[in-house]
Order: sequence, then structure tokens, then C-alpha cells
Amino acid sequence: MNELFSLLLSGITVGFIYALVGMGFTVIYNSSGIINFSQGEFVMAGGMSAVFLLKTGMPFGLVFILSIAITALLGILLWKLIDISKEKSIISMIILTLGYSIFLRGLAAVIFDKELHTLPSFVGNGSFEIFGAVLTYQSLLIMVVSIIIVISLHLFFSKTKTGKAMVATSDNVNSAKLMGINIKRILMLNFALSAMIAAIGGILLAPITSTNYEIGIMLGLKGFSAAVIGGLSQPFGAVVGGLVLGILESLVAGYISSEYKDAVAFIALLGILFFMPGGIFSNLKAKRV
Amino acid sequence: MKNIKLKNIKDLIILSAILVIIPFLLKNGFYYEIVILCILNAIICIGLNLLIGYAGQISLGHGGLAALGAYITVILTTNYAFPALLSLFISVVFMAIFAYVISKPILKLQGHYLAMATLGVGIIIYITLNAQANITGGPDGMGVGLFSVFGYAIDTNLKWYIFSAVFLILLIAIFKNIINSPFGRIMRGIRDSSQAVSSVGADVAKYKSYVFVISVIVAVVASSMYAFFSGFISPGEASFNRSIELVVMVVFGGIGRIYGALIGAVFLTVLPQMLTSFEDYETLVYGAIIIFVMIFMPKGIISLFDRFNKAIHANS
Amino acid sequence: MLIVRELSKKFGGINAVDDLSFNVKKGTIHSIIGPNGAGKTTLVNMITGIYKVTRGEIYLQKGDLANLPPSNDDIKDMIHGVRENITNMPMHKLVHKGVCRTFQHLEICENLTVLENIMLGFNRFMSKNIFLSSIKSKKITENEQKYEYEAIKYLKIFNLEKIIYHKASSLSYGILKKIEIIRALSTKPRLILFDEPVAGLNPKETAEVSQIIKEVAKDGLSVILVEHDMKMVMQVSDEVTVVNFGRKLANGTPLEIANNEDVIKAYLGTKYVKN
Repeated sequence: MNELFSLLLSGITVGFIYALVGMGFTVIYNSSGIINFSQGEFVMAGGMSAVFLLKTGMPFGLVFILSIAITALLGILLWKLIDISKEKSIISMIILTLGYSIFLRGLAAVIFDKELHTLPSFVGNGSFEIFGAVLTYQSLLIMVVSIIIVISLHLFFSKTKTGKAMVATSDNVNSAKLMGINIKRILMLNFALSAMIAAIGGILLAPITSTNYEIGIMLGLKGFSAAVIGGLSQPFGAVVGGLVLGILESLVAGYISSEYKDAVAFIALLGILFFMPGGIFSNLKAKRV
Repeated sequence: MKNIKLKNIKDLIILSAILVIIPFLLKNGFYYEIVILCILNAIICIGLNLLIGYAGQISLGHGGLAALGAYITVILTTNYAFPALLSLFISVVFMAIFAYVISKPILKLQGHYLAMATLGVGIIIYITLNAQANITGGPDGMGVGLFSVFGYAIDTNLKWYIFSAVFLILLIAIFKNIINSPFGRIMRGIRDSSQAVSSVGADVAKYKSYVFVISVIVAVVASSMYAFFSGFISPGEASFNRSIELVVMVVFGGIGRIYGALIGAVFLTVLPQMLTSFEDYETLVYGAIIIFVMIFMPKGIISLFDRFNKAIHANS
Repeated sequence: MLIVRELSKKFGGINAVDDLSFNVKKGTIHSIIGPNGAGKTTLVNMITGIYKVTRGEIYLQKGDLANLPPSNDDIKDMIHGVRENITNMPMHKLVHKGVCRTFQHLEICENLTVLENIMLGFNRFMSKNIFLSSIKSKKITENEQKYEYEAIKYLKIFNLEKIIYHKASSLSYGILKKIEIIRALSTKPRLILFDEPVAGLNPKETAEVSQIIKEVAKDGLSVILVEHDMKMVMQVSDEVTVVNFGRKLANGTPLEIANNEDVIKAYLGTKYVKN
């Protein structure tokens, strides 16, 4: 029973990270119809920037803000590259974002290095017990921050002018244009926002698992799975998808086999695509022929 | 009548000529290896191009599928002492059936969802190959024995080169015929409008599956050849990176053109070798080049050749 | 030729088509008209197997008994095997039974040439065997030549021989609409459904298409025409079914329909008299 609960806790913790990565996918997909294969690299960029900025002796608050800003800029750069592309077909955009992910990985290897790094935990190494399972302060922080982000995003999209403009744009680009919304600017903000969410995820994750220039690959793919499981067109589907994924992974690693842990995300992905392409919630179908 | 025929195989003649000359230009074994790798990659890409460029279906899992087939060939030959050709045959039959079965649910999806489903399949294969170490040798890979055809061993670089080059020429000739046949027309039609194709009596799902299976068979054979040639196979062949590499080769070279796939494969096989002088910057430059080409030459590098051709003909 | 019986289609809570029944007689032009959203395209999609039927049946006269006049007793026909139940049969199978259609929103393969698009129409007469194709067998080359010749013949009839080798993407909407019709005719159908064939065409093009449809019916082809252009419908039709809110409002000759009170009410002011 204790074991089950501790597996659940670690699953939920990782699940929230997947949720953050997945939300980034959803934001970009809903606004531009593009699946950003470099989303995982935004997570990596946030974590790695934080690690190296902290080494310079900067106060943590500043490190946090700068890391997020740097990653946001990387997001804006991607937006610009897409903007100037001559042809924006599905396959070109897939290759473009894949190329960007390779580029960012190479950039990280050069600017930082190829080693593993960890961030010290922001809230110390303490933990407390719930039902015989250990919950570290860092894990609790991840859960709390993630929930705060989700709520903030919800408020942003429903209450603020910019947020509502973003929703309008993703619903119907032409109507949005007619209302005088600057589509390009909104798109750029979407990319920046997506990158920032990812960066926060990376910074939160770094104290728990070590970070290096390659973590983006798997994280990105799993985050994508989380988004699809929840439903790509549902803004917060990724949250549920992420949690479901995190918990499933943890249970499989604990009870079945740790070697196949990574496969869970993709088996779940295939399952959803075959049986409920719109995600757990949605009745909307993925384009089927 | 004969004149038309000659014009149609002009490109094959030129390619054959180039292939005949190349061995004389190669200075040592290392270059031979690269050229053979180029040819084998080109073969996989030409098959993959049929799926992506002609039928319009994206696959981000071909690395995994190809590697699975190669592993089956290798395991049968090395662990069970089957004759190489028989192992290859069994592997091809198995993978063809496997590909056909998974194509049914997967090809119902479109666009991004199709891409992600194929990606999922590829990665699951990758994880499985890594995990089942008792059969596959795990992450460290396994050694591969000799490749012999009816007792004749293909064991030197030159023999491998001839074998691969002939394979390439035959493949291109066959594919050209297929592309211009009624089957090929349907395949190309599906890329533009599956409703149109249905409305002339063709079962779209069936044809998509056929093209998928063909592309997998070609990839499996070439991957198996590569395993025999290099004497080694590892799960890295099934990785997402490898699957991306293949798709980038096809798109880079030029979607929907046989020679586009060939050019893309050669370019991106040779490129990493040229980039080793950049050392740490290798990945960075590789990524930058992909980005650059996708932004400014979305139709692929072959579009440069097209402009070159047009310019020549405009002047003459 | 075709019997549609109590056909219904539900989308969620909406009855797009509700208990619709009508018959199409062989060799006639049977039009289906109705206001926007009346369910015409849903009806066509059900007949051609794109949508699954919620309720009802569709029967097609069998090909080999094409010369037998359909009786008034449907059950007798079923027993004698004169008609076949084609409800929910997918489109590609229907083509082999001699049914084909054109699309409201053009379905043309842009990257194929005009000639290749027409050759697609001859699909069911050609071998798609991969092995024979890969070695370019004699059978395949001979077939290609034969149908290429026929395709060019068709294109000449419609004065389109100049653009045979042009890529479809480079051509105008009006020409593409015609090409889609030619492609459909290449399947050598017994029954053809035109879904708004003159939508978006100028008067000259409309007249040309009308002429094509009349000629085609003269040769014995059965035609179902879904259209908004009242003038054209009144000119070419032998029989008209009016649909509104998914239900059959009226059925009869163009003259009868034009004088039908319910129809006039639904259309308000679009009264045409057949010449």
C-alpha cells in the first residue's frame, strides 16, 4: 500500500511536468496548426540555462527570470523562422521544427556542455510523509507551481484582452483578423508563452532528475503524448493527459518492468490515436479518412 | 518507338556510368564505406519517398521498422545459422505482414496524427530492441556474420559496392515503371484527393497499405544489407534520430522525385562526415542546414538542379 | 434504375434527411432541388456510400439485366434478382456496379496532368498488378496506349485537346469542373450523380455543361442532378424531387413542380415554366 502510494506520488510529480510540456504543444498547435517538435528542447533550455546562470553566482530569482526570458526568445526565434518559410506544408513544418530541435541541442552542447547537471532544490532537501510514502518538498513545489500555472493560464485566456484574442485567433483566424487582432503578434506571443511554460517545467524538473542537452528528446515526445491523450484541441487536456501518463508510467515501472517504462507513453499514444483520436475528453475526431 | 525508350532510360544510363566510374576514384576503404552507406540509405529513401512523396503519407517510424527487419535477419543468420538469403526472405515476409497489419489502423489517420502514430510504433520497437537483451544483445548491439549468396561470399568492399549499385539501379528502374503505371497513378492521386480516387473505383485504404508495405520491404532489405556489410547492428538503428534522418533525407532531396530521394540520401550521408571537422559544432551546423533548406528550398535540393536545367535549356 | 426508400440520416439530434423516398427511372434526368441545408448533399453522400445510412434502403438495378424494364412490384424484382441492395456500399465498390459521381467541391488531383486525371477514370478497366507494373509488361503498356487514345478522344470532343499534358493545378475552375465530369464518364457508368455541376460557372460554361448532361442522358445513362440553378433544372429534367428540411416536399415533372403550391411557398417567388 505504501509502495503504491509512493509510486502514485512520483507519478503525479512527473505527470505535472509532462502536463507543462504538453500544454506548450497545445498552445502552439491551436494557434498555428503546427506540431512543434522542438518543444522538449525548450524544456531543456530552461533547465540548462538555470544551471549555468546559477553557477555565475546570480541570485536565484534573477536566474529564474532570465532562464525563462532566454527560452521565450528561442520560442520567438522559431516563430520567426516559420514566418519567413516559403512553404508551410505539414511535412515542411515537421522537418523545420525537427531541424530546430537538432539546432538547439547542438547549441546547448556548445554553449553549455554535454555533461549531466543538477540544480539544487529550491526548497531544500526535506520531505514529509503521507500514508507512509515520502513526498519531497521539491515534488510538492512542482505540483503547486504547476497548478498555479494552469489556473493562471485559464484566467489569462478567459479574462485578459490578449488572452481572449489568442483564443479567438485559434478558433477562427479570419474572424479574428476582421476584429482587428494582429495575427502575427498573437502567434508570436503564443510561441513565447509556450516556450515559457516549457522553461518553467525544465527548471522545476532539474533538481529531481539531472538535466543535459539531450533530455529534450524524450520529454518532448512524452509531453506530446500527454497532449494527445488529453486532446490536442482541449487547452487543458494536457494536464489530465500528463497526470494519467505520469501515473501509468510510474505504476508500470514499479510493478511490471522498468525497461519498458518509456514505452508506456507511446503505447498510450497509439491507443488514443486508434480509439479516441480526439483525446479522453473530446468528441472531436482527429482527421480520419 | 525505340527513340522514346532510350530517352526514358537516359537517366539510368547516366547513373550507371557514374556508378561504374566511382570505384576508380575511391582512395581507401573508408571512402568505400561511405559510398556504400550512401547507396543503401538511398535505397531506403527511395522506398520511403514512395510513401511520403507519392502517396502523401508521413512516416516517422521507418528507422524502427527497418531495424526490426534487419534484426530478424541478423538473429536468424547469426544465432540460428540460417542461410543469409533465407533469413532475409523470412524477415521480409514477416515485416510485410506486420506492416500490412499495422497499416490498417494507422493509415486511417491523417497529417500530424499519422506522423505521431508512426513515431510511436518506431519508438516502441526501439525500446523493445533495447529491453530484450537476451535475444538482441541489448543496447550494445550484436555482431553479424558473413553474407553469402548460394555459397558465394560477399566479403570485400568492391563486392559489396557492386551488389548495392546493381540493387540501386534495378530498384530505380522498377519504381519508375510502377510510378507511371495505373497503380502509380492511383498512388499519386491519393496524395491530392482520396475522394477522387475512390470515385474511380479504387479502394484508397488498400492502396495506402500496399505502398506502406512496399516502402517497409525496401527499407528492411537495405537495412539488413547494411548490417551484414558493417558486421554489426545496434538498437540505435531503430531510434527516433534515425527515423528523422531518413525523413529529412527524403524531404531535403526533394519530395516526390526518385532522384530527389537519391540526392538527399547522398547529401545527408556525406554531410556528417564533412562536419566532423566542426567537431563540437557538428550538431549545431547540421540543424542549421536543415532549417535553412526547409525555409528557403521547401521543394528540396533537387529544385536547384531544376533551375539549373531550366537555365541551360533557356539558353539553347 | 435506382430506388431510394425511407432514407434517413441523423447527425446527433438533427435529422439531416428524414424518411425520403423516390425512384429514378432508367435513362432519365432526375433532379433533386431544395433550399440550402435541405439535405441534398447528405442524400447524395448516402447514395454514394460516403455517409452511413441511419435508416432506409437503396436499391440499384442489376447491370446484366439492364434491358429488363423495372416492374412496379419491388418485392417481385428483389425475388427475381433484378435489383440489388446497395445501402452503405462504399463508393469504390459502387463504381464497379456502374455508379459514379461528381463533387460539389471539386475533387481533382492537382499534381496530375489532365490526361492522367482522365486515365484515372478508366481505372476499373486496367490492371493494377504491382509485379506486372514493375516490369512494364506488354499487357500494361498495351492497356495504357488503348486508354490514352480513348482519353484523348474524349478530350477532343470537349475541345480540351490543347491542355492534355497540362498539370491540373494550372487550370481554371470551369475547365476543372468539366474534367471531373469527363473523368466520371470514363468509368462508363449506368447511373451518374452530379452534385452541383454548374456551381460557380459563368452562363456560357453552364450552358456547355447542361448540353453535356442532356447528351449523356440521350445515350441511355441515368442521371441524378443536384442543383440550385433553377433555369437549368427546369430545362433538362424529366423528373424533379423537391427536398426541404430533409423531407420530400414534392415529386413530379418540372411543370408540376413549378405549379406546386408547397414548392412555391418554400421558394417564394422563383416560379419558372418549362419551355
